[in-house]
Amino acid sequence: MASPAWLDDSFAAVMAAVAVYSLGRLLAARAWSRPTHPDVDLAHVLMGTAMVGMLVSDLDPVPHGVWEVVFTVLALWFVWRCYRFVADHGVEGRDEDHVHHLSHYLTHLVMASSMLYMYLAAPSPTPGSGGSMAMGAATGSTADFVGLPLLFLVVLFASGVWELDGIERFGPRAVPMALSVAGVTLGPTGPTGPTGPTGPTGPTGPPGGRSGGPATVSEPRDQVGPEASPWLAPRLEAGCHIAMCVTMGFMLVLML
Amino acid sequence: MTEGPQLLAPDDPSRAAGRPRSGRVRPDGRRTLQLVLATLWLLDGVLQMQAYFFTRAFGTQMITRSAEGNPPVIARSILWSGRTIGHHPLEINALFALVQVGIGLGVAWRRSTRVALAVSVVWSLGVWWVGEGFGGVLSGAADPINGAPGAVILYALVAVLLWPTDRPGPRPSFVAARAVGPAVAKALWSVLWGSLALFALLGANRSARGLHDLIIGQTDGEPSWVVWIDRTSSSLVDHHGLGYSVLLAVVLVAVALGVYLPPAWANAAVVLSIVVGLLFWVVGQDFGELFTNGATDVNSGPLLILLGVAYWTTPAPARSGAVPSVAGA
Repeated sequence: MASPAWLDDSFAAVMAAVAVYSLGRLLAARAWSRPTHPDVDLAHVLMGTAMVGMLVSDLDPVPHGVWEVVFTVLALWFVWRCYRFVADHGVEGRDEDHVHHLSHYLTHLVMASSMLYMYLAAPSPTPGSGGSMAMGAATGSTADFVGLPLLFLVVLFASGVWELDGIERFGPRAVPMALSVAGVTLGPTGPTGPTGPTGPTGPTGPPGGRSGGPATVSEPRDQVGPEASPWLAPRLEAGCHIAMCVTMGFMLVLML
Repeated sequence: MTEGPQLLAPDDPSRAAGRPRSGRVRPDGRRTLQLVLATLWLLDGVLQMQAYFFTRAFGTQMITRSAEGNPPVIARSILWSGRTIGHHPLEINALFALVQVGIGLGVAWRRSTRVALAVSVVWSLGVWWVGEGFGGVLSGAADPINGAPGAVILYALVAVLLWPTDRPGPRPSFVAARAVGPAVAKALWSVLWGSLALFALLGANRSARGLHDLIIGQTDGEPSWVVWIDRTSSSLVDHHGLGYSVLLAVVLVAVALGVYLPPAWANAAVVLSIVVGLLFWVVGQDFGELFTNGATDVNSGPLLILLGVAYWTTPAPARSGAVPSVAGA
């Protein structure tokens, strides 16, 4: 039983947009000397393109079998990135961009592995399907390994939710908004919530602090000091990641 | 469980490096549980996108089946809903999926957490009625092992308990009490687990083969290893249904009353509840039947586990120097 074509087409359109945007992001970052994660952007391009082909078989530009190799290489690359990250920063550390943790690479490892799983577990392409896979439940011996896609699914959704939870950190007024939702007010001496004073100074803003007005505990990721190039559109990057997690999750659900 | 945000120190190395900083308000205990809830909603929404739910059978068979045994006035409304969904399965199911994905993303985005939680409560109550026939509570068919009183009502309960507001006064020692207070939170816990104990002893649940039949009756479409779990566990309880039901009811009562005990014992009850929730999910619910392409949600097991974590008692945080929670964000 197949999902409605319009649903597949909708997800395919989103993935096409993500792939095109991520490609543009790679080019823009290079042209404007803006920092970004080229490997992650490239992964988004590849995964987005591949998922378009999986969702709409006529749009798969790559012969059958190539994607398996591509995502094996990609998964190995992220294994290597995880290893390097732990070697350089430890399990608890943060990346050179001071934003991402080990989980960033682990998540992309899971995404690459999910793509590989989908290609390996999916029913073989049928003649006239444009050479791409057909979405559907796993068959044969792979049907007994449905615990694996479920694990991938949970990791992907948790990652998307986590990214969305933190997306405000890239905005200019991140924490005052966050605190205000909990009924916490910010003043010159830091936040005070319903439970009373919370510390000698509370969360601190830029060095030197501010007197009066809402304190900001984080500079926006895209508005850093003049000595550094601003990060390229971090909220859009996060949005792409969330869209990719949801779409990949949808496809994995169809294969459970 | 960490409480309060952990913010970047002013001497964070990224500041010196002139590079972007994380600036993330690390979620506290309640926010973390909200994010778990958001993940479950997102999963539910995507499960709703499975092909079966876009067919007439979703309304005319799956929904209408939940009318069985309910009082006529309730059953009529469920049948009407089932027929309506059956007539417009594409549009209505697309709406269902969209709402659930929206709730998941809404809870995750701090700006919309409150709205999304409020919508989730309303939505859950509606689905509990129309989609689950009140979980069999009114028909006498409720069985805690396979999901009674209905997973969806647990979503509503969790949303209320994780509501991003703190009551005035000292911080309660467990997350679930922050919005409603310890007395109400403990009462809700006791009502829930006490009702599960009652359901365990109702009707066919206490018959000699009731438990066996329930477990073995849901193997259709499951992978072989899940079938093996079902067969093994059902053979263990075969012909001993009454004994196991009584034992289960005793355990559930212990869980229900455990929250009123001193913290160490209360936590033991919480651990017991988590074990029971896991057992229900694996044995009685076959992982929410996620592998059968017919599940609309993860069933009650994960929700019971989530609830248990929300009732885990931690030492009261020190008043001085504490950082306010932004869990409400």
